[in-house]
Amino acid sequence: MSKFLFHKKISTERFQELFAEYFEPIRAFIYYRCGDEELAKDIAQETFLRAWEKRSKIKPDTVKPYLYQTASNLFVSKWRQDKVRMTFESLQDNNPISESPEEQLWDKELKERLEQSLANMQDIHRTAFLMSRHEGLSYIEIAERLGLSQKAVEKRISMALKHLREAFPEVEMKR
Amino acid sequence: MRNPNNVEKKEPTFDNAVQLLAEVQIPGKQKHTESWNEFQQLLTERKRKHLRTTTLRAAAAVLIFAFSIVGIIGYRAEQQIACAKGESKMHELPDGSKVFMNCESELRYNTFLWNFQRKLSFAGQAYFEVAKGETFTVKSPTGTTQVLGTTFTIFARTETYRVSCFSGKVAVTTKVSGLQLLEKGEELLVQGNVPARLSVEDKNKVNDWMLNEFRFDNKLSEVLAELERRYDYTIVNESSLKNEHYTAFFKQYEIEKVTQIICASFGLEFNIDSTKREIRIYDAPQR
Repeated sequence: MSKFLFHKKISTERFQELFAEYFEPIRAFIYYRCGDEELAKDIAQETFLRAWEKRSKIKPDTVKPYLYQTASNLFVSKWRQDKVRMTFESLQDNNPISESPEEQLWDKELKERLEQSLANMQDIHRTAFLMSRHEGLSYIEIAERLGLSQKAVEKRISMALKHLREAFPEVEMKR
Repeated sequence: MRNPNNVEKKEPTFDNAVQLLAEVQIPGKQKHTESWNEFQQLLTERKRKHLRTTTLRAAAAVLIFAFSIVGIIGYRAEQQIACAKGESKMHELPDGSKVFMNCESELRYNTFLWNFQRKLSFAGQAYFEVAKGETFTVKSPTGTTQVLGTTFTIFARTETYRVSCFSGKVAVTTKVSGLQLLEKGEELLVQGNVPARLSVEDKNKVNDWMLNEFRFDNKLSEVLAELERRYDYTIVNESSLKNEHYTAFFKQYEIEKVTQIICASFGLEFNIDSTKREIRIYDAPQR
């Protein structure tokens, strides 16, 4: 019985684990929503500061949605612009020498078109979509973190895909 | 790679875009330890700030509490002893000093502040027996009297401020006389703007009310004012006499007898209304 009524305060070690595991995803979550690198970092830090202060009140099984919800609330209260700009960085050093100028131009166009399309997307669609396709999270996982039903996540991602398709030509079926 | 290695150049496709997403990262990514160290620093700052506001709040609370305590003590400790008309009483101060107050006199002091300074406000007439100790200060509308330990009488009514010293030394300060030091048997009398140093010829004359006596050596108007105070009567003087001097000495009989004694010596007549507590004095009709 007491198991349901009381829960242990999150230990310092557990907090450190949570930080290691979720600092970057939370930062990404805010970045997906606004494309503002600085704000994303500030909010991620503030989220964990609040979590530290409230660590005796957070239930261990709802830590994930708590973190995302806190970050989301902070974001809503701080975000004052309406223009979203999305930029991504290449993961590994591409080797420009091995690429031809045409290839470089092609890469650049692809990236710009993608970023442009994402920036024009509704932020909830973009967020769910990027959690799935950029972070590689499952729909179940996204639903849990955002405190949504799986159906809602599917809906958001399909809306995002629809939007993205409009920016790119259909794949040619014929080879 | 994502770029189809064909001869002909193709436009980027949807699949290319989704594929690219998996290969890029968002800007500003740091190593875990770097993020953690920054966070630790923020947390320490936040804790320090929190501690500072908590300390400030606690200090403010303590201050407010202290001020209210002082305020309550100051308010509760305010003492006011008043003698109405027809009433005289003795009041003993916290240090054992005694004040014998004549009718219509008022004494004020703060029992809490009294512990630090023997100081009181006084108006009316009273004989002070001051216990030895630190400076004892009596403030009246016209002047201030300071002593260490002595006996003296203050008369502070309307235009008149009179301090009579019976033992020890007394320092009296008024606007018109400046600082005056009185020794045993000396008296300072300030009437309006005129100060005068006199000698006390008779202690009992100054403190007549303490003996239940009248020892007059005054103008008639002052004599009648004293009667009003002692008996709580209103005296209307309709006679032609106001400033005649009157000297007499008798016991504090009933009001009717006293009035009769006074009127007889001036050849005046009077009638008395004891329900209204009023006396009318008038000239005797011409025969």
